[in-house]
Amino acid sequence: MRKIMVLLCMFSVMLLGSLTSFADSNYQSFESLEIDSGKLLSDYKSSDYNKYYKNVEKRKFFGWRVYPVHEDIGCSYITETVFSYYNDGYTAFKYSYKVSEETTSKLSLSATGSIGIKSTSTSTKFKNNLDGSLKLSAEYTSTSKKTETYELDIEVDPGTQVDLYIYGEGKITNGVAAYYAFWFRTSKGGYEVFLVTTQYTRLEKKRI
Amino acid sequence: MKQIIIYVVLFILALVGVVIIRLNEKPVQDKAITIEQYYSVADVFQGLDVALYLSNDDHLLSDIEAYQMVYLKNEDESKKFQVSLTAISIDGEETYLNEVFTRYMLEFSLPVLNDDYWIDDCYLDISLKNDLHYVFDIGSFSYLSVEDDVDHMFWTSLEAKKALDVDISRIGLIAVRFDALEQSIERVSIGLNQEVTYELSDGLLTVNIAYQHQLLHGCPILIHYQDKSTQVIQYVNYLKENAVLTYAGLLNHVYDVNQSK
Repeated sequence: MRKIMVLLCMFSVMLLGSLTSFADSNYQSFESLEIDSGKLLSDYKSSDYNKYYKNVEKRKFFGWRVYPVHEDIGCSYITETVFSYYNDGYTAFKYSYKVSEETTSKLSLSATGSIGIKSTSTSTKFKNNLDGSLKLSAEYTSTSKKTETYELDIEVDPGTQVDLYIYGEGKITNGVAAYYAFWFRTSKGGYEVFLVTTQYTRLEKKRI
Repeated sequence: MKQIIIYVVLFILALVGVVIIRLNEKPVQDKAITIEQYYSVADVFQGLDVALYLSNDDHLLSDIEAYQMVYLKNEDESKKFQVSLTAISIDGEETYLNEVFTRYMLEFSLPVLNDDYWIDDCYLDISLKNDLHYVFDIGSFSYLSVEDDVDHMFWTSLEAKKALDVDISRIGLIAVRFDALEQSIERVSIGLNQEVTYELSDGLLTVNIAYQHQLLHGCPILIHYQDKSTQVIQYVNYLKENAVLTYAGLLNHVYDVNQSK
């Protein structure tokens, strides 16, 4: 009887721990994001989930059941204006634009349902090691957070304004997954991984 | 008594196991990687950024204070000049052959060169304060000397694209939009020994960069007009990719650099 109580307590703790949902969604704030095919996780409807969940409902002793719906679909994105600087003086000057970001920012995770994301000071990962079960390529791995610096020296002519934009390409993998512990399903939901592969710089100049 | 003997035997076996594992451990190799790249400069004030990948973040090569002297040179040292390291910044992280490398950007200021300068086989020759010496192959270096920079074109946007079907990190064309062009263009260049062609149509100058097996992330654009004047459009780093090592393949130069802080 005591063993059953202990097991029940363990499941309660696991269920409580898995109820929180989180979306590390930098890419969702881009000015535009276009995918070559398929659907973003945010566009999944209830009917989609119902259809895909059937593939992860078979119980297992321990671990994740994963059903990838879209793998490595190409996408292109445009960020909002990164930088804007004007020169209302009479001589040209050089401006050194410098921005720092985490190296892990090239990888963004998103989750729905009871699949969680844990973000620590050194990394951002899905809870219960879903990352490991997704069998993503090495490109998708991000081991640690380091501060990365992006620097651009811009010459701003007198009477002009220079705007900097970043746009580029990426890959998106999404699907549904369910986590089982002792044949009990403790979390279920959708996951999405967005990876920036290429970043382009675009400079615009106009007269003021 | 029997139980004690079992525990002692287990402890000794565990100890022997640990010793065997330790003896068979391969020493961790610190590695550095540089990639063949086309570096083009048309203004000494622009400086030069060279990417250096290190497997060990504590390596002295990541510490600007450890540097004594740096030269750019060719293999036989018939061309050689000193550059000043002004900063080292982290530019990203990549996994290559199951190892994680941090991409450091070494930022150099250049001496004033009065003439065009070309190094076909360019090496970075680094001497550290603790007498360690490293020579890294970085590709080729072009310096274009421009005395009078004119402004016959008012460009309104600059952007570049990779060429289709090119996996390595290399731009294939640059699109320059403009709203005024006061002189006829004679030719366009982005550096020495790099073939380019251009097309002009409706406020758009498209610079097509011929393929060479080298990385190319950014460059200045030099527009030579028929009145023999030249306009320099500033250096822009147009491209940044996150799996550069993976696609660079044979362009990668891998070095053992075993010396930690």
